Amino acid sequence: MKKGISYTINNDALILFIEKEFFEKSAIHAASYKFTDKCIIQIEPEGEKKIAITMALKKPVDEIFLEELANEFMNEALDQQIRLDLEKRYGNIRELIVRHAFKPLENLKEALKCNE
Amino acid sequence: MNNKEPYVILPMRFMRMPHEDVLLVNEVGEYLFVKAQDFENLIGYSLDISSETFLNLKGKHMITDTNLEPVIDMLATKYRTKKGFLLKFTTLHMIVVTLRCNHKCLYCHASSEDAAANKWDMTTDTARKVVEIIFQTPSPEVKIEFQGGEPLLNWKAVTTIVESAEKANRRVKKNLSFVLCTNLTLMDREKIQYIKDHDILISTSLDGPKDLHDSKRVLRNGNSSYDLFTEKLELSRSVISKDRISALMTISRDSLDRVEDIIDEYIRLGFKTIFLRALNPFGYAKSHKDDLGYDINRFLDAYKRAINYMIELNIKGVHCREAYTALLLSRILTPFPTGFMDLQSPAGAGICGAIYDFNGDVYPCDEARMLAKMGNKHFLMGNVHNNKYLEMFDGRILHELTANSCVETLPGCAWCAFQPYCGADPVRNFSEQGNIIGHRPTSEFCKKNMGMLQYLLGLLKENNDNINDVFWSWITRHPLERAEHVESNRETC
Amino acid sequence: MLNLIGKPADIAHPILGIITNKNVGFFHRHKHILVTSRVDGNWGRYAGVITTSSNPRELASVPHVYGLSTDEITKLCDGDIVLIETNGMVNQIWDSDAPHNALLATEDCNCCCIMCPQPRKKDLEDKTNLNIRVIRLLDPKRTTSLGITGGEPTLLGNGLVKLIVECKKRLPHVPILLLTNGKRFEDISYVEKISAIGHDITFGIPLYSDNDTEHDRIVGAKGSFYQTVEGITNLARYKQKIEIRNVLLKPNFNRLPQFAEYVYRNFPFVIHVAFMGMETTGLALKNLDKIWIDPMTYMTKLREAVLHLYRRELRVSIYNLPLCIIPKELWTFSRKSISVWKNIYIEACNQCTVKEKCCGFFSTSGGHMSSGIKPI
Repeated sequence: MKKGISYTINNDALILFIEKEFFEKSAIHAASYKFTDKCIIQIEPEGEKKIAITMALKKPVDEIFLEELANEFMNEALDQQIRLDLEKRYGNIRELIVRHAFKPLENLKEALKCNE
Repeated sequence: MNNKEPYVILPMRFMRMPHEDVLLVNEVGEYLFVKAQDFENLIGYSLDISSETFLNLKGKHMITDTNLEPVIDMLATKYRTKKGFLLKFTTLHMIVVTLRCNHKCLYCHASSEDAAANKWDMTTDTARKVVEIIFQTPSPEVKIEFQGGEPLLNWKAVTTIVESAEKANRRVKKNLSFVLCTNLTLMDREKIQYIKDHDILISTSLDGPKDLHDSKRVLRNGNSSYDLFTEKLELSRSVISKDRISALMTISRDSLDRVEDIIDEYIRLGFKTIFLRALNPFGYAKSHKDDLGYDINRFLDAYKRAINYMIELNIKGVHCREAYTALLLSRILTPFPTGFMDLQSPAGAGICGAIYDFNGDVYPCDEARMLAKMGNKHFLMGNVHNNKYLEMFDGRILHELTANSCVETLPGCAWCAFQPYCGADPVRNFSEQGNIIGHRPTSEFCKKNMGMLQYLLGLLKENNDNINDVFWSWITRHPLERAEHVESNRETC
Repeated sequence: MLNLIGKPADIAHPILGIITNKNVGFFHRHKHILVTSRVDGNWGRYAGVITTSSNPRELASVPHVYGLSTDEITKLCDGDIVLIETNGMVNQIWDSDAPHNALLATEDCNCCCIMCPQPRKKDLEDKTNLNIRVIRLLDPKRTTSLGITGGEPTLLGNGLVKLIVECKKRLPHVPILLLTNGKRFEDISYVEKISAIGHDITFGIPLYSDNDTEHDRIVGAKGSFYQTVEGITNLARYKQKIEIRNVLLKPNFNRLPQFAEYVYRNFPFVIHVAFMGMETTGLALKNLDKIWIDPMTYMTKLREAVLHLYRRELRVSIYNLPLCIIPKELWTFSRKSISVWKNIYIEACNQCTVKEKCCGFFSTSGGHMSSGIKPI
């Protein structure tokens, strides 16, 4: 069990419950994307505070596989949330780097201040 | 800089690796392996600023605790360098001078026609028009690559193009070069002399020892392609130097278990470089997929065995190198851009290279031409007889392809740690998956590159002197002379 | 540089001239300083005379220095350029035998490096005019290279430009090695001015770490690292030749491989990287406990850094470390780097088979030698 995520296994499908407090929508979508080769994924709200992700495998599998899948998803969701958080922090820096690379900014210092 | 935090984290991507390692890669491809705990501390802003890990991250421009501005300046310079290929625009111009071929190779995607039908030949008129269009490229460098079918079957077109190009170049003085992609079996003294006189490079195909080569590369007349090939190779080498002829191959199911034999054959025949290309699902190959096809994981296994084998050989003093690996290593280890159009972001299709069909149709890449052959002309940019340069090279198709093939913005790629090393293949995505953005989890292109990159980075992580020496000799193309054997040039300072 | 002290006579102001041991033609004598044990003869047209004689009345009205020993005057060779001070001191400014000579542009500096062998001093007078006169005395046919050092030469501002312009004029085919911390090249107009002269210059710029904290600490001036980086970047924009120099010390040896990678990724255009053993003189002596480390301790890191750059086809050199303490594998990178006038060999070197190829030691090394020193 990881903070903010729980799951159940239900007739060959894995259902994960994600607490919105800990994971943003983009992170959930990005995490789900990784599994779209093996699963058909449905994302729906579950009450006010949670989101339910149903992962139905394209091929029949056993419970152990689903448990592993759940763990993999949880790790991926955590990493995607980390990426989102980092992006919020440095996203503007990356933009500045690319802009400065192709059309050098006269005053980089000023541009940095504006972005903070 | 935020006063609360002891350092600023700079743009980078991460990937979890085995043994609790995390691979970090910055915006320009500089990488660092850190322990998972250090990574947690890093993003939690609790990393000890006097620790070696902290200093390593600083040296790689992944964090900064002092100035931000000069670091951004340096990263911008490096970024501009890495994207330097954009400044040139279309440099590689592939010309399909005929669809006819004397072979009927099982995996061939060039959909070659019978050797006798002249209606599949490029006319000299079309050839000249193609050269006219080519020389409107703003690039200071023009590389014309003759393809087919078998270009030697339409020699007139080849010579017309060479001569028109040289004439056009007298005025603009670009860095002009020619490559002839040929199976060599139709070579004769006159042609090889012409090739020598005009400094044309030869790129030929060798699939391995005779049995392997002949089982896939089938001469239409039933004879052994291999025997004819080796005979003509010798003829060619009697006129031009060895290093002007390179060879590549396509891996099919049979070759998967025999990579060592293939490499040995290359060395035996005096080729220093091999390009182990995975099967391309287009054209003929698709209909033979059941016989030739293989799971991409099997390819990766064969690839790893091949590289291990080649590293061993190099350490023993046999200098041989794998071309795609050298390319990936350049992307990882050097600050410089690479010119390989299939691994760029935005995709090289059209903006790095373009292909001109025998009838003058212009496509951004070979896959686009193949798609048209199978009935879908979605990526047809125009025709040299009917359309002007800007209509084609500043047209809707290139704009759409370029805007949608930046890995920095594609799902799956946008957060991938290997982003700076990889590229996009929008036409392949369209063909295999239905749209130019593509779907990463099911992409063979993605699996292949990820598999190779993971493997290479694993080897680099070992920081083994021998492996580093070999890899660098592949990048620089110079067999590495061990330092202790170099005659000391006793210059004073 | 060689310094001799003799007794002055008739020296109203410092004399600069080319040493000659034999007579030269009349019209050239004003540029020359004759070195002789004979005092009879007409020496009137020489800029000055240096002699062993004890009190040569015959040389009255010719500025001269006397009373030196024969041993001493044999050290002065034809082609050397010396400055005779009014107090009888003879300073060798240019050693015609030495493969490399440098002009001291200024003793002023905008840094305070912890291992500086030539600590900052306020110049008693501007050396630019003197240096210009030296350049004018040099023979373009026999001068193979020219160094400009200090202190920090860029502090001269336009004075440095003047020096280089003079070199371009008088010694157009003599490449210059300019040792500088590069900070003043933050000002791109200064870079433009110097590169516009069009002379073959290599800028030898020190960088002591892959991070600014460590570099600034060693250099004793906060902000130096990034200023130097900007200088390097600007020089590169003008396609100037740049050489990076690092000195091997206790605080920075541990990150030598990372340093090598930093140079390669950020300054792949540099033409040369030099790793230098430190000289124990000046501030280095004062700060010895902070910076001295037995080279044997850093050899592994040095090897890794050198090979790192070698694989990447960057030219690398190791300066000031004798061959006995460098792994044989790295001998090809070792150079005879120590200026002749401060170069010594020790007793043990007489049994060494590679003495001829080895750079030996600094005369200032004193008691601080590596534990690994032994004849090969």
